Parts: sequence; C-alpha cells; structure tokens
Amino acid sequence: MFSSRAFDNRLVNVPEQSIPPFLEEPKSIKDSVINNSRLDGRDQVTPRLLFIKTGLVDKAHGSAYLEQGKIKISCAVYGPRPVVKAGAVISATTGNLECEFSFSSFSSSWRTVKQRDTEEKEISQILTQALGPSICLHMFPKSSIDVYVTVIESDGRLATIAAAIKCATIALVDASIDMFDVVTCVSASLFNNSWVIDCTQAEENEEDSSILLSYMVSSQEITNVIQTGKTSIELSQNGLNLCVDVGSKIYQAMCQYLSKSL
Amino acid sequence: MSFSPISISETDYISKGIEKNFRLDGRENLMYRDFTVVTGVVSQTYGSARCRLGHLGKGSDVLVGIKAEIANWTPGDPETEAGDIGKIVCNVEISPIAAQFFVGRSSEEFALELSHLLTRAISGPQSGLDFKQLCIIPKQAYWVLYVDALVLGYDGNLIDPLLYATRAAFSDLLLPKVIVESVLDEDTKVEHQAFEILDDPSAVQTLNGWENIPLAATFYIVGKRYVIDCSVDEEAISSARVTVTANQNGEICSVQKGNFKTGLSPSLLGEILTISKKLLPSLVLSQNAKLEQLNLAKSDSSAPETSFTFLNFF
Repeated sequence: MFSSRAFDNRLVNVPEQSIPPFLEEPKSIKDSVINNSRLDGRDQVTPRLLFIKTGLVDKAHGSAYLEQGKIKISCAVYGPRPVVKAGAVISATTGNLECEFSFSSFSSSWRTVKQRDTEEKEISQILTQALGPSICLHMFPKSSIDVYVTVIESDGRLATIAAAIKCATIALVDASIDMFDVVTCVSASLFNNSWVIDCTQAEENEEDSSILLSYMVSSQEITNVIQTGKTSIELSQNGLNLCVDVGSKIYQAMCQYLSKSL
Repeated sequence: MSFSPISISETDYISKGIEKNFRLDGRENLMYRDFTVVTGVVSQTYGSARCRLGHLGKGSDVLVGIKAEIANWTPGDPETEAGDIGKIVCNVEISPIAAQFFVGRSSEEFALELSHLLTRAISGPQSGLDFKQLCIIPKQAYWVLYVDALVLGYDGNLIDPLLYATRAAFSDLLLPKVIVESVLDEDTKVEHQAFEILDDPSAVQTLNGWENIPLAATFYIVGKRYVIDCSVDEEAISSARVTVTANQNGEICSVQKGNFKTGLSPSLLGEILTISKKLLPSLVLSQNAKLEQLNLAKSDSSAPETSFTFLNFF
C-alpha cells in the first residue's frame, strides 16, 4: 500500500521534516546601538574618523577643511582686521569674534532654505560661545576676527555643529591667531541608559536626550555645553565625563595633525 | 552678555562681596529675589501669565501669551513626522521699554538666544507635556501652540522669569474642545474624518502635563564663585553663565552655557548640577502654591477686571 510519503528513489525526495524559512527581522537602530553594534561598525564610545586639511582658501588668513564620516565642512578665518560690521560696538580693550555658520542648501536630506534662517543664526551663536574663551581676545583691541563656516554635507545635527567647531578652531590656528588652547567638541546621544558618542542623523532621530560639549583640554575648561532632554543628574554627569574623555582623544589627533602641518 | 559699562572699583566691590556670600542687595549667593506672578492677563490669548522678579515697579518683567492655531499635517516636517502629535513654537521678543540698551536691533541676538533656550526647554518630550493631546486627526490636523514671550522690564537674569512665566501661562491654558466625526463624501463614496470646534465658551480643556514643565536656574560665574538670579551689575562682571532647567522631580531637562568670556571646569559644572537639583523642585513647589492661590482668588470673582490686577501686582 502506498502512503502519501511514499519513497521513490527516482526523485529527489523532500526531507522528512520541514520548517518555515527564517526571515531576519529588521532591527531598529535604537536596539542595535544599545547592543553596541552600530550601523557603521563603530563602538559606542568611538567617534568617526577625522580628516583635516588646512590652507585650502588662498584669500583667507586661515582656512580648514574637515571630514568626519559623511560630514564635510570648510571654514575660513579673516582677521584680525578692522571692524566692518555696521553698528558693532568697538571695544578699546578686547577684540570682537564674529562667527557665521551656514548650511549649503543641499547639505541635508530635506531641502529647506528659508526655515534654516534662525537655526543658522543660533548655531553661529553656539560657535561664538564655544570659540570665544579659547582666543586671546585681549590681544586684538579694536579689531575683529571673522570666522565663516560652510557645511557642504551634514550627517546628524549635533555632530555637524561639533565638527564645525573643530574645523573653526583649526582654521584659527592656521590663521596664526593667539589662542589659549585648541577647542575640541564632542556630541553624544542618550539611548535608554547609555551615552553614545558622535551619532549620525539616523541615530540622532531616535535619541532620548543629547549633549554637545566643547572643551579645552590643557586648561580643563568647558567653553560651551548644551544638553537637551530629560535625564537624571547622575546620567548627565556620566555623559559630560564621557564627552570630556573622548574630547581629549580627539584633541591629541588634532594636535598631531597641526604639529605635522607646521 | 554685558550691556552696561562698569568701573574697575565697582567690579572689585561686587566680586569681593560675592566671595563673602553677601551681595549688593543683601542676599546670599544662592538666593532668589521674590517672584510675583499673575495669570490670565491677556484676554486675546488661550493662556497668559506675567512674572516679575524683584521689587515692585522694577525688576525683570516677562509677559507670556499662548495662542493656538490649527495646522494641516504635511509629510516631511521633522517635528511632526509621526503624525500623532502637535507642536509648540516659541518666540521671545525684548521690548525697548525694558532697558536702554535694548533699543534698536541690538537686542535681536539676545532674543534669539532666549527663544532657542525656551524651545530647548519646553518643545520636546522633556517638557512632560502631553503632545498627543494636541493632535486632532492623525496625519491630518493638529494644534500648534505659539508661545510668545515679551520682556517688559530688565533687571538682570531674564531666563528664570521667562520659564517661570511660561509654566504659569501653560497652567492657565484652556484649549477649545474639538469634535471629530466621520463624513461620507457624496460623490466618491469615501469616508473621511472632519473636525468641528465647539462654539460653547465653557467647552474647554486644559493641557495635560503642564505640571511637568521645568523651571530654570541660571548661575552666573563671578571670579571663582557663582551666584543665581543676579542683578544687572553682577551680570556685567560675570564671566560665564550656565542655565539648568529641571522639573518637579529634579530631573534635568536642559543645560546650556552662554556668554563667551571664559569657560568653566567640569567639576564646577557638576557642582552646579547638584545644587540646581536641590533648588529647582522647591521653586516648582512654591510656584504651584502661588498659582493655587491665584485660582482661589479668581473663583472669588470679587476680584476686579484684569487691567486693574495687572497694575495692582506690578
């Protein structure tokens, strides 16, 4: 008698048992970040690699170009020069630092030119606050130092600001402006209870809270800090400490480049 | 941000006083001036509050009004991408009435900084507000709350009264009720949702979660010490400013450093965070008590019309 499972050695027989195909579920970015396996294979506390080059703009007194993953930023520094801004207060004891930050219209995934207006102004202020304490402004009375930063491509809002600050500080060094120290800047995002350094846009979209910390390593001074999002005090202190640690490492890389380029 | 010039001997006098924990007006370094608050001051808004920090007739004075509008959902807006939340837009204006140095366009940069600071504190999930309540029809229509602050008086430390007034204005906020119903389109036979705003002035709802809105403490660093709630002169000689916002549970909602004269050490920042965790929840409690008192006075209704209370308190 033939059963339905009759053995026929002229055919390739099916296995006795079968299971449905196992489809891998797409992992959410948040989960993969928490499990320490980020999309680009980095560690939670490893920033993206930096590429730095100075002296790209001939006309400027100092300039720098910086790449950090997908982020591409160029910066030019003019000064010290007479104050050109109309209506600016000219001080007889200190110089004036002006930062102008701009996104190119193709720099992010959505093209918004008009709405960027106040955002660009705000980031310009952050830049001024982050760089101001590092410059010996008392050396340049009655003159202004102008820093122009253009983002060619961005990836992650805070990471882009952090890269802009690093780029600007290198351009200032290239312009031979007297400074107390080089400013490093680190961005971090909080996922559940762990801080993750230098997040891309895809990761920043799912963050719970974020920190942007600008730090002068040798004088151990925080020049600017912005934290957004609800955290406990212990967590935010952990985040600040982590940013300081990572900032010191980035500082070494920046100094290495600068001393080589001299 | 130093607006007023100050002599060297005066700088010395103030900073030595701060070292001895005794300030020009007799306060200790970590002591606030008195907050005065009134809610419901502007009838054209859905919620408003005015807050003054300091003595009657002077001091920092901030008026906050909240207007609500219904917006159509459009894909691609990063803030409302999910489609089931509304949004909050903040704007701060500094009136030239406040102080002489705010005349002209010079105050714009400062106003912009304050707008972004306010945005950072309240327009995200960290404010604890119920953003889902602001959604009317998912992926179709939502409420936009425009929080407009107007600075009417300036006597140092604008940030703390700004958040104080904002929280009070949210406690006063009453949104009209909206009814959502399904409508059958006659031509295409497709059902879609439509909403209607109720005319009835008593059909209003409060916004859930306003109790969780954080308040701010702004620390100004003078020499090696730091003070909160400083006056114009103290602000002029301070070298750095750190604003910490925290809610009633002592959770940190935002931290921001301003003023670019000097930096500060990480240990000092840690100290400031610890102090603000102690300071702010008690400030929230005292504000809650004040708001409750205001509500009681209102329900008495023997209180005179708004313009009169407006003057009485300020």
